[in-house]
Amino acid sequence: MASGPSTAPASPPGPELQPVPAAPPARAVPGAPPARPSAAPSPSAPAWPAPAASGSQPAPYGTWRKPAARNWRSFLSRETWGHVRRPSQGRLLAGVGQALADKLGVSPLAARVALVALSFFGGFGIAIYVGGWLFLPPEGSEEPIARTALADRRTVGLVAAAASILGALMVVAGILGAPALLGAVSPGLVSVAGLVAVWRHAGREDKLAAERLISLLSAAGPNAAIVGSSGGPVNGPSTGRRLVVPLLRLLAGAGLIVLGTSTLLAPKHLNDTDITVALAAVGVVAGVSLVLAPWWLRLGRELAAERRQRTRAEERAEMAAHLHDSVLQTLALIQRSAHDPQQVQRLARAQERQLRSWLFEREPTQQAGLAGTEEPPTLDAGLLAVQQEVEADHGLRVEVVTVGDCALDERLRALLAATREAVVNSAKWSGADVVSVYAEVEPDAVSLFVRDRGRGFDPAAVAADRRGISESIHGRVERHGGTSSIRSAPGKGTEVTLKMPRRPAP
Amino acid sequence: MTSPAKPPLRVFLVDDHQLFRAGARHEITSQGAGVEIVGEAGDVASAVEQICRVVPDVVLLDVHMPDGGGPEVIRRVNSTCPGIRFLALSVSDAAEDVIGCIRAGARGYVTKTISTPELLDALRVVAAGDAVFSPRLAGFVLDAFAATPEPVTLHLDPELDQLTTREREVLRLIARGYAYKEVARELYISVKTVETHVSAVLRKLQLTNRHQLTRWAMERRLVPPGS
Repeated sequence: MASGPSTAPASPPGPELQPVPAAPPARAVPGAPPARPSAAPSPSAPAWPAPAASGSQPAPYGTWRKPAARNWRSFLSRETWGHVRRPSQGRLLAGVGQALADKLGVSPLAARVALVALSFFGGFGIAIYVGGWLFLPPEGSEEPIARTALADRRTVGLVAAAASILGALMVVAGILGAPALLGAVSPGLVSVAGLVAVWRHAGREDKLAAERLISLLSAAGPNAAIVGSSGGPVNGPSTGRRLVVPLLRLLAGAGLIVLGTSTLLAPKHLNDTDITVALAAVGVVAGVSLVLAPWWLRLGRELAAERRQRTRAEERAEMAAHLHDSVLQTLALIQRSAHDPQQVQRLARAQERQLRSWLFEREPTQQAGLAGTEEPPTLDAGLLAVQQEVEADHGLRVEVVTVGDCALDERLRALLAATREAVVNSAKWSGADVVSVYAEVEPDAVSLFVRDRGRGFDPAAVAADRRGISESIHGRVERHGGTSSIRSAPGKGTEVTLKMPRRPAP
Repeated sequence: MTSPAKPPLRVFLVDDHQLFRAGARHEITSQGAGVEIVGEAGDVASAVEQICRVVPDVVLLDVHMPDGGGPEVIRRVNSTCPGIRFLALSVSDAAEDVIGCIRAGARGYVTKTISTPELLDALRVVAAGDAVFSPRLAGFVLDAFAATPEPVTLHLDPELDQLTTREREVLRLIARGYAYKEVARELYISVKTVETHVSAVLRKLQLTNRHQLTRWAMERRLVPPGS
């Protein structure tokens, strides 16, 4: 059962393979252009000037030149080329070679060889190719790329920019006396400007082809990998810019390198001075950096991304460590003391307070205050430290509300210590489960209220030697110029009011 | 407890934590005589849809939820079926959250550590159309409406952008941990008067365009020593 379906798909490829080898011969036979089904030589014949038709077969280039020289205008006219299309089948790049071959009645292979050969003579082949690409519409279309390109302002601008860069290079080449460069640059100018236009306005097929051509061209230099990788596959409208910019940069860079090296190697036209050498070196360096810039940029981006990822991993590790040390430990403790509801409540509250301060507070100042290693820098942070400490030690809730905040000085530290004493007193004696602390910072004084709704007491009945209240609260505050009062009655709770003047601004 | 003729308080729960909803539902129904949970929701869209359908007396609303959280629920309910009262409930008592909820239209704000009797009281106060001010919310308001001089160029509406002396006194006592009843006794006024003051403050908090309010929510105010 299982073997049945597995053998069945194996057999079709056999017969399918048969037509494939049969097709290439027809395509590869060089000497039979009229046999090509898509060649359509008949429509080309009427448009062609009469004398050319007879002698076309043996000497294509001869027929090409003669009418061109005699009737240049009609050769370039719409009637001549208007119906020529770049075929969609069998093209290598953009189908320009095939179209030319069809038009001229030669084999596509011959046309291609001729174009490549021309490319080695100053790059004219490439220029012709790009020209054909621009002005011959693709099969099934009436619009050549050139027409849509000319309608777009940005394309015109880009073409102008490319042309101006190359033009500048030509001028520099002329000044430096490297005439060989002039020849290489002028067809390059046409090609690059044309390719820019193709790029922005071609269909998907043509874009792929243009990409291939550019990497082909740049393969000659050291930059194939750079252009290939920064160009990437065509997958969206943004690709156009991604490839045009590298192309311009590549040409400018390559030009600078060539200029620099040629100046270095052939300085005969100039005085053999140090300045020339320095200029040449600068040119080479500038060219190399221009060519390598995207690679550097990408390296930098990758490094930054890696650093970001590492930071994120560290943050996650820190959070995991914190949760382990605090929440998980507390949960374990809670499970173990499940029989003691008060203990569970105390643990849960302390943990909640700690986790909340860790999550919501901006600065972990209160932790420093709690550790006792550093003085808490502001009143608010100091009160939070007191809150955490008392909640952890006495298992009641301390609600702290502050209005305003200020840095702690000696007086306010005394006020804070007195507050802590009052909160601890409430925790120890009141029997209430909540203590409210309210602090209000005003420009000239700080007011503090510690209140519980516990059992209360009669302040008059407290023995004068009870150190807790008289020394730790009253004494502390009054020594620093503050005031304190206690309001309480049995069954009515207790409220301690403290007020400390602030040191005037210097 | 109260007269049997009084209809139960209809409360709707909104919280994206299912566990918390279950806990709140259990505590409210077991301890709160005369309180009925008429529905619950775990996300903004279904909360808005259901609240407008069942029209509860009070919505107990979590501040932090996906898709905009409590403030978004308040805004959307108010735009489609106004008149519903909200009590915001959160684990966070960060100033932005508290003020954000009140500004969106909540009539009070309590934290999730609140005891069940306190929560029931708060629900009744909100249902009666008054405001619930926790000590912390009172502190935030005092902080936000601090008597610091505003730039004169700012068009301040004295009606909306400043607290009266009495309102300040009430808020201070609430911040110190006084219940409305205790505030009334302390200031020799009626509880109803305290509630009126607090509702007036809530209105100012919701309507003021005091620049200070937003700026303050971002950075705590450090008070410079007096001259």
